[in-house]
Amino acid sequence: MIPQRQAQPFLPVLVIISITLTHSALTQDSLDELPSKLRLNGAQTVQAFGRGGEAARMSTLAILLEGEHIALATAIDAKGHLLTKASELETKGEISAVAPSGEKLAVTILASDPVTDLALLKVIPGKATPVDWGNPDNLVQGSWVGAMTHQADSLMIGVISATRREIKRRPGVLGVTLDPNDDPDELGVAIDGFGPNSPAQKQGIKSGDLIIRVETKDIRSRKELAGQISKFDPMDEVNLKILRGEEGIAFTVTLNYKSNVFDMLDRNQRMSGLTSKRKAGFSDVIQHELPLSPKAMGGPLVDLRGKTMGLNIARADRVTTFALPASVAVKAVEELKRKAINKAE
Amino acid sequence: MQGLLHILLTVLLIGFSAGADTRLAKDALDHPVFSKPAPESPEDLLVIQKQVRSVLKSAKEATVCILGNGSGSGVIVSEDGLVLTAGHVSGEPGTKVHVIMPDGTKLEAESLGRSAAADSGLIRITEKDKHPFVKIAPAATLFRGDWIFSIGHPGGFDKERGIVLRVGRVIHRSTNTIQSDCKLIGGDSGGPLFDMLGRVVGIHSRVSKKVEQNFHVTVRAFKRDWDRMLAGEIVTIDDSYAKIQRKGGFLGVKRIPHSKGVQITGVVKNSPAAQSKLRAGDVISHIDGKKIESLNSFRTLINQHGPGEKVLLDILKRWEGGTKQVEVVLGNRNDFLPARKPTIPGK
Repeated sequence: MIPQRQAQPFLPVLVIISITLTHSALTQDSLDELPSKLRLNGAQTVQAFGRGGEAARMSTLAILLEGEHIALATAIDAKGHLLTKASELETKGEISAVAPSGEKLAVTILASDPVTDLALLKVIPGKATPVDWGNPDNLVQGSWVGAMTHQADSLMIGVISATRREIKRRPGVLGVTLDPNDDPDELGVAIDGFGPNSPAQKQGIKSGDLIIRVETKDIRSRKELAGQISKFDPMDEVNLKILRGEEGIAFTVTLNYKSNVFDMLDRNQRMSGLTSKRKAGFSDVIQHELPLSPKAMGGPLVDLRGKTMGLNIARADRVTTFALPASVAVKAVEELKRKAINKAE
Repeated sequence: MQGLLHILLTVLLIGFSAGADTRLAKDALDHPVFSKPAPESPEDLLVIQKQVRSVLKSAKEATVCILGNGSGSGVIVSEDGLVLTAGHVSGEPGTKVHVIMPDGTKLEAESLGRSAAADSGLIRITEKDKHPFVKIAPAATLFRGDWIFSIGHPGGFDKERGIVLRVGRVIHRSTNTIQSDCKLIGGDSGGPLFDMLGRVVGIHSRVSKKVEQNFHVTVRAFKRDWDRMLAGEIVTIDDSYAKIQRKGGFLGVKRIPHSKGVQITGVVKNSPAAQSKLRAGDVISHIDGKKIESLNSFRTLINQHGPGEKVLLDILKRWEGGTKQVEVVLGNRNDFLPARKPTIPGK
């Protein structure tokens, strides 16, 4: 319920009018805004983070896809192992990393885990300082935390903003809107429109088509269709049978993230700017207020002593960023290393 | 130079607060970090963290979610359940809304008045109980650069997540508006902004395109329009407080918009309206033969007359039916309102 203020330049005018009306004794100086460097994420304030900030900088690497920044990574050991956000690596292309020194490094993707959304990467050893894991149980609402911005060149600070908890899974979507007048006795549900970035539409499915089967299940109602689709995750392939006029056509659709397809229709998401496509389905997250770019996920979340309390995993909205607690990340590393070995064999 | 100015302002702040609430202010804001241009060390940041933590619990206990036309936030400022919120959350005076306490308890409430100019609004919890509440800061104690924190129910009530905290500084303050770098989103509207002593200094109102630049209504705007909002009025951009106080005559009706004018929802005891036997449910359609188009035009037409002057009202009687013309001599607002004047917490 917050209207977005479009006409930013109006403010000084309003201020002057209201002062005239109330004969306020405010001086001209007080009309000025607080200088940027003194604000919460101003250069001077952020410096106060001290060695915590230095620790974040030395353990964070930038991850690039074809030369474009797409994520951050966290150095976890002296052997060159890194963790990053797996779902940001889903686009095909050459992946590279930039070390804290600015040196560009080649990257091997060893394994990824859809449950935690973490991927294990490897670069040559000795290019970043491994993180010093802390105990995230010590964080409370209001604890200061910091993390690097998406080019890994500056620190951002803020506080733990809400209760640590589970964020329920959001299944994949076809990106279709359905005719509400479905008849449960008749086979099929009619499509009457598409979301702004619909994977079904991309495959050539058209408005007016009837979805009559998902995998091997016949579909008679919207509820049945939703039930079948919600069993799949984003990026899963689903086989559909479509009835177009008299003709039955088979389609294979790669489901997308609900956020990628429908977020533009959500007012709070529009207000948020860009957010992570995967921002749900985490068994345990720390919530903080750092207004990081979705391209700054995968880096360490540090406390004032420089301990890494978690790994940033999703930018969820204008006021929310999620981090996986250090304990979850450490456990995931064992699993990822096991997977990597199996894959190599 | 700006750094120096800031120090001066902060020193002023401490002076002011000390006058208002000596013991608390002195202990809490004595630390040098509150008079530095910016924190300089992790220790400085920890002082801010500790200060926020020391008042966060009571601040959260009084912060509510408001379910009306959408979901907003608010903060209880009196034991009997008066809630400060944004005008765009409280909506039309007299609207039934629900208030959700932090533990999930849902309470019945009713919107009182609001200011369209400042985006301030009042709601009253109608279920009798001793409600947890916080103090409102004195009006002139907040300055550019002061550390503040913001809480609310962004995106709506979520019991597992709880109330969401954000910390920041005052970027700018004018009579009606505080600009801060506390991050806000839909659902936060109407939620409280607190100073480091845990007193309400603002109410979340709007966002800008920049994530770390958002707007809150000042408590000064609330206090200026307090009586009128409490009486269920809508304060518009055009009517300055002074104009109403000096010039406008007093009729004594609470009202809501109606297709044929304004409908009376309450009559102030012994007021000119009461003496002319106007009753809740009646609709005032014309003043001096001029059609009432809106709540604003009602006020504009009444305000063309001072106390002691006559107005001719066209009334559609709810109970008797039919229309009726009534001549009313307007009174002086101050003769009727002081007796009903509330204690404003923190004033």
